[in-house]
Amino acid sequence: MSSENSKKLMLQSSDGEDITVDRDVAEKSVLIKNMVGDLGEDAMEEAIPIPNVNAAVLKKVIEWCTHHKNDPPASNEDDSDSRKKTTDIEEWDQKFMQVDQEMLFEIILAANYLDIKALLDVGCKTVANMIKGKSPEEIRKTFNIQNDFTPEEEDQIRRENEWAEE
Amino acid sequence: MGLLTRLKHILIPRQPLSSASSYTPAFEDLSPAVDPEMVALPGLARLPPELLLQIIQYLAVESATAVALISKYHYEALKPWALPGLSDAAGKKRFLHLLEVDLPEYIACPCCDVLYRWKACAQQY
Repeated sequence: MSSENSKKLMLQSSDGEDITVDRDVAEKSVLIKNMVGDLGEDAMEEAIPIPNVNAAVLKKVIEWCTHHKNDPPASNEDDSDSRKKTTDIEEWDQKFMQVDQEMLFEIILAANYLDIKALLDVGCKTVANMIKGKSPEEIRKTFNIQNDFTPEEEDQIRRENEWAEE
Repeated sequence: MGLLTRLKHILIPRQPLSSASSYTPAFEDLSPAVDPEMVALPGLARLPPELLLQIIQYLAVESATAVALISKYHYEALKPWALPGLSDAAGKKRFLHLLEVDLPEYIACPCCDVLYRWKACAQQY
């Protein structure tokens, strides 16, 4: 069992870089775990293509998986309730997420694609913490979003939802 | 010289496909129609709806609704999930205070939880 877990896998990023990673680290990704399960020993011999994730992001994701490789798997009860309300992020993860916005969203997309729930949660919580307490315009400025509503459309939304009156 | 070639290509757009094809990238280089930075980068602007929903599950109703108002795309994606939460009076009050920040001509009435235009109630300003 332990010898099997210490085996290495080779992942190939979208930009063609081969990255070697411990199997138990890579299997924090449900996508990779299932792939290895399906392929069996063949998975050890050839690079597994990860077509949606470039090397810089994949290395960052592997860094996270390496740090968290001994975490217990999340239970279903965690999923339904307590996990959702808190935006507390453990200190190591907070530092890990101190990256530019492009990388932050790349990590979120990669975690979603690779099916790494705990990493996706950390990414979403990080974005939620950047949104908290901000007005819509402040959120647009923070995330470089263009407001495509006309003033009339904004006015109409406020009226139909009974948020504003003359 | 390179620029001249590109300009020529733009000025004579209706070339047969066979001869125009090799110039296509240069033609695209010169097109400033969209901001390539906005299109190329991932971000809150282009996050798929299911991930936007994952993010707002960590937000109180006032912030979830504020996200829904940042663009038409976000409004369509989040309206059914974020706006019903405003039936909670305390949540609506907090939301109107956020909205008030963007609307200097409005003030939130603390009694009826609606924004009113300043001008309507204070003409001397």
